Amino acid sequence: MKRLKLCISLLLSVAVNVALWNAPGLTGAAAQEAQFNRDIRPLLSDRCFYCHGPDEKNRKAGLRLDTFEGATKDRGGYRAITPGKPEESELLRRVTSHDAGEMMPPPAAKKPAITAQEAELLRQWIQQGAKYQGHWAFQPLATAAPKVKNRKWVRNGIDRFILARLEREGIAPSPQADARTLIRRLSLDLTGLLPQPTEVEAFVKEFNQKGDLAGLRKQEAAYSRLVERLLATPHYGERWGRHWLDQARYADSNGYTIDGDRVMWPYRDWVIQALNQDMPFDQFTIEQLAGDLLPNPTKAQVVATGFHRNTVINEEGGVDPEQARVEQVMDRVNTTGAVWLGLTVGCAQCHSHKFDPISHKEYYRMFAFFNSTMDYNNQGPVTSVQRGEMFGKPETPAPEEQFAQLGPMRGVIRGALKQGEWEKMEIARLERSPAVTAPDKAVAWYSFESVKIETEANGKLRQLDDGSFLITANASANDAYRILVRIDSPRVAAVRLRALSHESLPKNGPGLAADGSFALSEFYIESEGASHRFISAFGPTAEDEQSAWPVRAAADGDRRTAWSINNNAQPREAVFVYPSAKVFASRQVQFIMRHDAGARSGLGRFKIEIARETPRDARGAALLEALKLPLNSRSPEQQAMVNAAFDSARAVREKQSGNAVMAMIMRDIDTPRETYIFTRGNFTRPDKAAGLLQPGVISAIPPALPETGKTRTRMDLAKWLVDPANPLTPRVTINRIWMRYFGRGLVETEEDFGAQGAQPTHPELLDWLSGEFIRHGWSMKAMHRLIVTSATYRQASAARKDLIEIDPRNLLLARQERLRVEAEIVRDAALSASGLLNARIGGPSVRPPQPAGVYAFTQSRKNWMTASGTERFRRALYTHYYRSAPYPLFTTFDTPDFQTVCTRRQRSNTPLQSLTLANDPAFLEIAQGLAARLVRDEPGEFAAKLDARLRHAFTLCFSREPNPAELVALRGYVERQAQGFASQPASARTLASKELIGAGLTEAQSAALVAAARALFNTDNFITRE
Amino acid sequence: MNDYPKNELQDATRRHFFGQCAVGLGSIALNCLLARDGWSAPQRPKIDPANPMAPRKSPLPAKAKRVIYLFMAGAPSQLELFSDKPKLRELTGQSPPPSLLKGRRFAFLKGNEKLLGTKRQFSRCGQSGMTLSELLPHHHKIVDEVCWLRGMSTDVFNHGPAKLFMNTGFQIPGRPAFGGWVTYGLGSESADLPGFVVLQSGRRGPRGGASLWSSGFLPTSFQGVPFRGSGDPILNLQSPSGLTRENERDFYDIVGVLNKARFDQTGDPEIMTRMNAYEMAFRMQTSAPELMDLSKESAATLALYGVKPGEAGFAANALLARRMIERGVRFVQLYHTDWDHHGERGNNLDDDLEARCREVDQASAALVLDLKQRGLLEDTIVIWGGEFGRTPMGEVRETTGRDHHIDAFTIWVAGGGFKPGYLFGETDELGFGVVEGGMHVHDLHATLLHQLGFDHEQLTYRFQGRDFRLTDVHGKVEKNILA
Repeated sequence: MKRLKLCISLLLSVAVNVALWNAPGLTGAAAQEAQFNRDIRPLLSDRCFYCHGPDEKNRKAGLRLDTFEGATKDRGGYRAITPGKPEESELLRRVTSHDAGEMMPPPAAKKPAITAQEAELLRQWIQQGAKYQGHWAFQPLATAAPKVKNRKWVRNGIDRFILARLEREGIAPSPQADARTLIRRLSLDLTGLLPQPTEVEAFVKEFNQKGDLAGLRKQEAAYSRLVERLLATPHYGERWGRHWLDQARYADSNGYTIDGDRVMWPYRDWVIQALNQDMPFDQFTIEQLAGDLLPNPTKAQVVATGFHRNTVINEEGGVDPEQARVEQVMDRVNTTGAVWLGLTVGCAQCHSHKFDPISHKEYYRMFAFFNSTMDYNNQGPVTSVQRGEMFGKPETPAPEEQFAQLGPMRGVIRGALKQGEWEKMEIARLERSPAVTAPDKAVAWYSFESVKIETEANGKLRQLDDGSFLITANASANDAYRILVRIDSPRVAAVRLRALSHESLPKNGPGLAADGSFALSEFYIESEGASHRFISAFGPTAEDEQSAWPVRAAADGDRRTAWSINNNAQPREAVFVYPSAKVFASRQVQFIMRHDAGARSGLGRFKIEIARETPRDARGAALLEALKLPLNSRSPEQQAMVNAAFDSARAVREKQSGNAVMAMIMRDIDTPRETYIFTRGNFTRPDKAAGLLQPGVISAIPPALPETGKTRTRMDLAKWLVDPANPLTPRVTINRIWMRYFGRGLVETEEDFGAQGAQPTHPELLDWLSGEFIRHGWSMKAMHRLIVTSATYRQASAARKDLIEIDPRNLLLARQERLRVEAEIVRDAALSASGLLNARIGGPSVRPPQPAGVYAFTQSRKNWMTASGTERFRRALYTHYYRSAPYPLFTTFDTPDFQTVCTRRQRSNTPLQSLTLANDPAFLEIAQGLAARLVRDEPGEFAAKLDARLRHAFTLCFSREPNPAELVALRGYVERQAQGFASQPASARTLASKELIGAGLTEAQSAALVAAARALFNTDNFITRE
Repeated sequence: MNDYPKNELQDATRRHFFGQCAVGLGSIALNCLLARDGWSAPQRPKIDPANPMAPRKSPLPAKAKRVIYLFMAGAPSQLELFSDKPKLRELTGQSPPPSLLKGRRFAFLKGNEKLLGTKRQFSRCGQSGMTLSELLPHHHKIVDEVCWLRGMSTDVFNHGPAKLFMNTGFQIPGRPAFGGWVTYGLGSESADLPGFVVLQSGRRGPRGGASLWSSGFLPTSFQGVPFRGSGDPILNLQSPSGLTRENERDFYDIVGVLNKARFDQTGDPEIMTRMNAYEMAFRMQTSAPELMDLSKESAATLALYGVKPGEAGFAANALLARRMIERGVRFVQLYHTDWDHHGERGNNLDDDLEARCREVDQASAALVLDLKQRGLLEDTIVIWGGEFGRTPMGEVRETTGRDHHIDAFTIWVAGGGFKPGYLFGETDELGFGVVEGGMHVHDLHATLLHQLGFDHEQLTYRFQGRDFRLTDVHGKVEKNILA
């Protein structure tokens, strides 16, 4: 009893190695020779390396113990370690000393003292020659072929390693789980959905064979067919894509305080597709880290680079954009280190790593790979992507869907544009504009004094003496300007924006593009935290706008369309009008100018003026007049004008074509930024004395990067990560795949393969699997196939008496684990059991129902337009994820907040989870769906069909029959509830769904069936993969 | 299949199960405290995964057992409230000496701003020698109860990062909140309510949202649970409408029976944990509304806080905070927003600041007085403050306000072994920098943990190969402010 408790409590303690090697009852390794990597390094790393390790700056007394040379150096008559001679080793004397002035680690270090047992281990090791080993994770992959006695149990290479260790401990593996458990396990693991009853029954029939050789062969074939079928469904990409998206820190919003929406779902679709197509992991890596640098990259390869655009963005006022950029670059370095190398490279941000061979300088050489990307705080490159495009099937969504995607925008032209329809819309649009009906008289334009000029991506913008504004330095093509001004009168009817030339601009401007052009995507006023958008906008003459880039595109709320001009260095103007003269409450207003529609597109010099009266849009008035005439009454000039306007509208519509969205991608700037070490990680303190850094990798990890004389790029980094000579990437990747199946990696600290991390429980197996991964051409599906067809995976998961004492944490895998499924799968399982699931793959994120009150704790309320129809029942993977206010189900069931990389989720078990499953209206709706399905699949009278329905419910939820006690208990519950509801008609009505009552049940009976469905969803069994 | 020692396992789980169920209000299970008194060095609590919130005794002697943190989001102006600067008033309208600006970074200032003295009246009050602004009349009553930290400084000058820094000791999201560290270390004494609760008042939620009470890399059990100040305090607390308590008892029973049946099949102790969680959920359905129901409070108490029955807001939240810690909640954090007084409409140092003060002054003081009178103040820490301070220079927007200032601001702490009526820290005569008694956010964290019975360098969690602390690699315990 006591021991059991002790062992459980070890679960979260760090004594992972000790727990494994010294676990009560385990004898296998005890009497062996002391090994540096297994026995000594963890000890030295934990107690000594902090002061006597790789970090040269903070090294004490010039002593380093992480290398043989350092530890055995003559220190003037004595050595820290004298191989073979413990008595002449100062280290041993100091760690056993009781003198406060001498003992190591010193009391001030607040490290635990070396125990007598540990000191004895050190003594043995020194006696045996103090043999150092390189850190295991950096060594080449080893090969081994363990021998086992029970060869009949072995189904593939994995089992040999697992069984060899079990046999060494004298433990028998668990029997194979039954067919029903296996199909549910495989379905949840490979697709995240529950198997349907017909699939279960078919598999059970095929799988349960006689125990003779022929029977076993048939069983094997049935199992194999199931695995292949599941790997081939598109849901495999959703299931395993979700694991990858955790690492990519994918979310649908920017994070921090404002947490505005972002378009990142095309990247999510890319991940799903790449996995479904079984893209080899090396290619998968290269496309995400450097797809933009491939020769003639495809659209998909560019979208893949969204991986590192998943960083959080602070849109708050007053942010230092350079600081924000640097923080994002650091996150990219740290994420790359965590995902591919399983190393905590972030530790070397401020100083050389304390435990692992990553120097401060090497960190910034990694930093240099990412330091030249084009994105700048909240601005960055994008590419146009249509729904379905990542799956090779671009589709034009239905008009109402487009509208939902585009959000609250005016003037969106829906569907294919026909001139007749357009003319009607155009008449309405012009009639809405007060400028079209304004009297034809000159209005006065007023200038103003600017209070504060800001840009979002660090461009330098200043006001010249003539009141115009000029960009004098430009960092990002898509910079946005925010100009706070003080206006003399609060009344604003219209704003005039004049694009002006200047000798400092390319081709004299007025834009910053190489040809002097620009593209202003949005222009509006902000005041008191609210946006004040214009109702219409126009160019006074035809020369003021390009047909495809009309002035009105800068006031349509759509960032893909913009105002631009045919550049000939003449001043051009655009006029923006309010519906009626606006009277601002505050005299300070801010002009916002966004340039999101292309690269190098900012305005270079411009002037802004304000009118208190509405000016006349003579062109608009003339167009309106022409449009109102019947076709045959229009003059040729009038018809030409109408046709030109239609062409313009169609060209704008083209930019919204298929309602493509702009996906965030990665690109580099032309001239790389300089990279220096940041002293103590502080970006304002570049250490220029230490020299300019070229991009480079961590030298302790093979292979060395060849010198080519060319500046290295992200492509070199990506190729190095997946070089077959790099031993970390395959180990780390395969270990995480293993972790998803067994709840724990072969290296438990899957995020730390460094000196401080855990030792592998089965080092030879890890290396063999890593080798297989490369030998199978980095095929991820091949690895899944290998693992799930092993006998190890197929074991039953039930607890075993004999293991509680000797292997309470199941490190040796003499059984499978029961694992609570992830938040998303909790929902998906309920959807698949009820039959409500909308299995559609990919596309924009959706907003299923969520409980009221989610935004009581966020700065800005989110626009959560709850989905209707079957869109309510999409898989959880597609639920819109706001970083500041995640969908409550996710937070409750341990979905991370995606602020930074997440390589492993927690598995908590809390009352809030109970309340969610019991009471969340979304789950109640699904429980109603399940009850309806029971009645649909088993039609008939309530009492007569009750048992059949409950049995069916068990198969739907657990893929198994109820045992007699379960059936009796559940039937009793339903009968009691039905009886109770008969006298609570109001209660029954709220619980029962219409569909049920229509099927001939009373309200009370319907409600009781819904109650049963709800109860089943709330069992541990339902949310557990067994 | 059934060859595990059923009785032994069931014994363990059953005792755990009933041990939890039997914990009543106020009667803290002593045996739990003793039984779970396990600490490894460095100070990493041994968390029972089956019951991560089990109360744990601190590894060192503790003066305080729980925390109420009144977070003034947006950063109140210390120069209008706590820090009287006659010299600054005298020099209003003049440029600040360039030497004082050197090396400082501001969010919005351009560099040509002028000094701004306050127009608020200050007066000396209490025995401590503290001068307080007219804007906080009720604070005059607690001036000798609280410890004034007037030399606070932080590292970051934007709201989101600075709030994260104040809460997690780091400016980038992803690390555990202070409340998470405390419940990780101490668990919670409440079996019916979450151990770390967050309440919110003001026009909107605090910037940063969930990352401010995140459990970061700690187990997710240690994340703050937001309670709404009115209506249902917790999402999904209410059973589907129409279901009676009897319906629900039957529901929880059938779920329990099915879970027990599965436990008998598999022997997985995790199932017992889940049964335990369901029972607590059922209890929370009554304990949480009971907690929120202020009607049982005396008229005198309601008047003390200025709570109007049925009206949500800071005052009601402050009273709820007291009710929570009475029920064993370990860490309660209240956010009150809109202290960001740059000077534009809705955010000025005039009526807007006055309104914020009116909203929090009385209830903040009442909380301290009420805790004292109930004997709870001695082992409860109350913290009051924002994420940074505001500049001695005016920032001209529609009116003249103040920008963010990270180098010198004031917060106060009370109870929990802090010296009452003690003034610590002084700034220069213009309020730019600290001249003595400086206290960085890391030092504050270190000192608070010290009072709760932890060495801040030892309370660690290993994540990605590193032993993380609330104080990162900084912080020192400020002994001068400890009673």
